[in-house]
Amino acid sequence: MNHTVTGLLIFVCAVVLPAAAKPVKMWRTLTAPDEMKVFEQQVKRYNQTHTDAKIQIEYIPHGNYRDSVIGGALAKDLPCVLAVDQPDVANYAWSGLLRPLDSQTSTDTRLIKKETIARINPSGIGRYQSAIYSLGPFDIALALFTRKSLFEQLDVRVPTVEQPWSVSEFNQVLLKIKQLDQYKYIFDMNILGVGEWPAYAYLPMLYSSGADLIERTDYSKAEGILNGRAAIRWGEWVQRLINQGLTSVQFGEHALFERGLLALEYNGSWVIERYKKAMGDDLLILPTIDFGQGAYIGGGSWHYAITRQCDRPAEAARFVEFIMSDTEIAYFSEHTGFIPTSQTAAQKTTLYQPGGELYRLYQMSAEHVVMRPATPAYPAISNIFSQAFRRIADGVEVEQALDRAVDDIEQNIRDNRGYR
Amino acid sequence: MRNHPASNHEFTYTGLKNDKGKARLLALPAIGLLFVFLVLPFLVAVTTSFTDKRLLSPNQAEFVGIENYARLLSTKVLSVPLEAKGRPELDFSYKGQTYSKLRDLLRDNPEFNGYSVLYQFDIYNNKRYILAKDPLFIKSLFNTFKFVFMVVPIQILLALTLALVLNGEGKLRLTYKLLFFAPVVTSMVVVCVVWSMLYQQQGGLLNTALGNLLSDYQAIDWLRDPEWAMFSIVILSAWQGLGIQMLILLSGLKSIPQNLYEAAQLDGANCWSQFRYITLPGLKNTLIVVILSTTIFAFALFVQVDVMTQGGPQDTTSTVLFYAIEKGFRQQQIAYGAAVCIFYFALIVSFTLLQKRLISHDKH
Repeated sequence: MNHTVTGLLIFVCAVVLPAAAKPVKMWRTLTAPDEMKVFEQQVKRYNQTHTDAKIQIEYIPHGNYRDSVIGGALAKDLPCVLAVDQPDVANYAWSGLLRPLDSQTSTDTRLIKKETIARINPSGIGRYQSAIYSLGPFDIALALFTRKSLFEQLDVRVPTVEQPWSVSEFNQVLLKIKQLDQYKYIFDMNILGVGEWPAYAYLPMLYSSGADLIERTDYSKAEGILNGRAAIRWGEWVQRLINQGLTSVQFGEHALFERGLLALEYNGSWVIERYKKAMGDDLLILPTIDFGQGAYIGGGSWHYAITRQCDRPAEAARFVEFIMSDTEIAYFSEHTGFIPTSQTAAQKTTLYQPGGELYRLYQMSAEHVVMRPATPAYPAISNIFSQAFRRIADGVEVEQALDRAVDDIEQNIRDNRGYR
Repeated sequence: MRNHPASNHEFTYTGLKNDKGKARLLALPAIGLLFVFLVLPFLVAVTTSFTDKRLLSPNQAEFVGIENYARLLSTKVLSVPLEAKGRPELDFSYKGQTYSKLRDLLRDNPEFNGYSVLYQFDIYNNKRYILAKDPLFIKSLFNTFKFVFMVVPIQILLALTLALVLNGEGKLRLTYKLLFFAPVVTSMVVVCVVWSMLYQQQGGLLNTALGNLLSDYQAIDWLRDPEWAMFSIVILSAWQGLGIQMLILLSGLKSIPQNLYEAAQLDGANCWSQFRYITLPGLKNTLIVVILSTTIFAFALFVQVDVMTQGGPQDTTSTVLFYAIEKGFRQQQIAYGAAVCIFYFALIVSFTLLQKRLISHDKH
């Protein structure tokens, strides 16, 4: 009897369900297992209430993600919902891969509610020209990592978000740490970081110095911006730190900070969990350095976008709405430790609410953020800037390295007919 | 002795020659696959290289003729008089104008549009500049040839030495053969990461060892010193790749008939003469294959650069393939990247043909 019922059920499921529930496909990067688990929980919950348009995730390794998107675009085989690295959004939007989620000029229907977008901080929004193409529920932050025990011995002011260290104060701190002679290495700013790291990590420094990667009104000129006085001064500062032995391009060992060999590190908030495990309460997280125009951090992490070739944009948008709801943003942040991209969601988390342990990281992420330039030229700019930074670290004259980067960027823009 | 060593491993199997129809049929799948995965992409690349196609772009690609190739190879010479008084390097006069930076001069005069400095030297009170539209490509080309000319002799000599030493039976020999072959089957990325640690300036194994051996040794920053970076990559690549050449040479050695050595010994030939007049001629064909294949592999240098130096320091390790990936993929200029590859392909083919001619020429 029981068997008959089960059999009947299976039969009904097999015949009825596939017709009713064609899943909405989605691509996402394969990241750390615990982060994946949290995201899968969210999708599972969503799928329970939206049986007519279940989300089906396909994971793609992090290193190949950009290539896969390009491949998918060329083969016209992109999924409906696409996770995108925020700085790439303008490039994809310009190439016609993405649908605008909200636009003032376009005739496309609005996919995401105005109220949703109004809640989200700038780092959670991917724009190109006058339209919005992607939304992201979380961000990461750059910070200086050090130890409380070290700072009790140093006679220096502890910086705050309102009053960060000026660059001359920072130089003094480095010299004092050197005099203290307790640490084998003084400062690590991860000079050899590859991929997006150089543009992500050093643009805030450039911006704080009064420079930028490119002029941001029509994104066609880098001359005088990336190779102006301000940028050159910053590059020379990096070289001076290297030459004075205050930082190194390459360290002979690994896990320097956890093992107490390194006094100060410039890195992203993804290291917090690892460092906390290693040193507990001794970990001290400080805001970034002010090079004259205020302290900044980079913004924009992984976002969600809807592709042009998606034939069920409304259903895809419903999922993006779900993921971007305050409850889900807070849920994701609580379980992964990432910074939420909305004020109202941050209030629901323990770490990032006002007075919370990492509230100042949230403040930096909400108020002191510099986005990477929203131009289709960005992938090329990022690559060219990485090369220039590498040359500066190798000791090439700063002005020469930056002049060359400017020439390369402007050449790339000309080659793309101005990205029009 | 009548039988020449080369004829020893000639085999005459003519079964299929008598049945051409069947042979063609059997070759069909392979030819089909080669066409789809080799010929077709190559043709697409050739076509692409004459357009301005982007990897991702809403614009239609346009035919631009040989513009990509012209940009790759355009060079010009600029001669600026050295000012006798004051600081000459601070002033550039050209067509009645004075500039404080060479770059300003180049940007100001339309005939130098798109050019930048490849190389500079002083001659007869003039500063000569060799300008190129794409100096990094030309540098990468030189770097690649430099790599090939260093790595091929080193790798083959080492492989030959190892093959001679390890030729024969025995457990110890087998162990060593396996050991030297292990890097070949190890992922190149892993090898590079490990060697980056060996090459560290402070605390790297190589510098520590050298520091202990030589009392006044100044630690070299192997991968970040423009003088040493390419050489460091050469050594690593030779070490990684020599196992396969060693294996091929070992099998070549096995095919030299033992009785030749016996006869030579009876005639009183010493080791060197045996090597010079029996081993080397006997290995000739194997060596040609090894030299040609090593050269072609060496031209494909990419992973080591991508993992260890990213083309630096100061462009000394940028290679053509690394440059093609940077331009074509990372900066999304696929047409230009295709032009680099097609030009490079033509160059390697002609170089290999020339090399083959030179090596096979010295018949005795």
